[in-house]
Amino acid sequence: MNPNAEDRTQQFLEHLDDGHMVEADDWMPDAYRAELVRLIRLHAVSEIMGTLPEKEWVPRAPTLYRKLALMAKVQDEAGHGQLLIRVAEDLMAPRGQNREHIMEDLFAGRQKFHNVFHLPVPTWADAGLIGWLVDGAAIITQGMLLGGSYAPYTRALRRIVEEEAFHIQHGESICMALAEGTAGQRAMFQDALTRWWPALMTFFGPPEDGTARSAAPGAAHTSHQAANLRFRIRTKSNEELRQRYLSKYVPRIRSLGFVIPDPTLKQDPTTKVWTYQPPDWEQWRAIITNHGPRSAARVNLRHTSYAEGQWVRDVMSATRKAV
Amino acid sequence: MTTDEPGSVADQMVPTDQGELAVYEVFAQTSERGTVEWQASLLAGSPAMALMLARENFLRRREIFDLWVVPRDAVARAEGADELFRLPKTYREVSDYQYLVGKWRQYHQQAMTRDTMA
Ligand SMILES: [Fe+2]
Ligand SMILES: [Fe+2]
Repeated sequence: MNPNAEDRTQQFLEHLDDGHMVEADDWMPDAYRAELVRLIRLHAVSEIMGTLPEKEWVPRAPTLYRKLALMAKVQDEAGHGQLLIRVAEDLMAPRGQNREHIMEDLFAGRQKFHNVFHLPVPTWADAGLIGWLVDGAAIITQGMLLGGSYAPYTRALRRIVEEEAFHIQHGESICMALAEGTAGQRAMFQDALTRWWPALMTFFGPPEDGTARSAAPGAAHTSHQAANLRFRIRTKSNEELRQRYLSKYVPRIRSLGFVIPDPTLKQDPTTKVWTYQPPDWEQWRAIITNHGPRSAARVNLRHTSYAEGQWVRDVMSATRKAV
Repeated sequence: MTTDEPGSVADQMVPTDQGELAVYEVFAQTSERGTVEWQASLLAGSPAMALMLARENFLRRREIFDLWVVPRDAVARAEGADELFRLPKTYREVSDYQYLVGKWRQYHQQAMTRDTMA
């Protein structure tokens, strides 16, 4: 880095520390751009891949009302992907890249998305649990990201968070119906909770304290966390988010009489800090690097629909030519 | 000039970097008494397609009163500090004249006292 760029980076950091925002056309250090692109791509692709597990239940939803609501939710998630991909594209443009690169990377296994979307959804309770507890986790992350320094991302997030409020109510409503239902329905939800708990505990990523550092690919994760905090792209650590999540959801789950499959899980009454069985971070890394149980099937499905939709994009984009 | 003549605004909106798709900025008026405000940006092959995507992608939940899509290339923007900088011109602002409230109170008070004496 030449001294000039160093000065500029210093000024940029001071600008951030004063609480200012950054716009797409503003000068920014390469590292800032790179962290943003990485984060927003991950977010965008997670929204898009997140439609796939839930859409499996659209044809099998138990009532018409549930089917319509689930379709509306899936449509919202696709819309979130659209919003975010545009934000990412404006940042990628100086490198001559656009959404095609994101999709190519996804199909080639080079683009990560959230661990939860690599997993199977065997029952209706799993679908409801995603709406309640996965969207619940997502909104905690997204609410925190609203305080970030990159203005175009925070604008997109404001729209997204507004719609997430519906997603959570929708998920809660499904889970509440099961909780108040027959013994069979309660057992179905309990099974889903047991299945999903480890994935929910890893959703926010490893803590910063080094307990999860490893030589495996993805071990650089925690340094991205530090860089994002410094750039005010994020304002809270992974562990802070997980603690907030536990405080919000553990009491609710327990109040419905369900058992969280971690006998060590407890909150210190004075410090309010939750302790829990350390999650299997190796397994988490395997999942997000496309070695999850449904990784290949979902990426292939996305690839197929992308290829089959090519003619639509061709027709739409040729409109001006045809006139 | 028709919109399809070379060099027209419509012609310029056709980009070269991403097939025939262009970035459009979406603006909408979301309340009857509100103003048209920026909402989002999207990629589309024509203004009609941009309008349709804007309605479907960003505005499907709310009633809207007006909807604009503008090719990003057609937007002229103020650049840099020179065009955005504003001299402090407090004489334009109501707050500079707040002292008048005190003056009036004072005159009112004086007049009341005069009336009472009379
Ligand atoms: Fe979403
Ligand atoms: Fe959602």
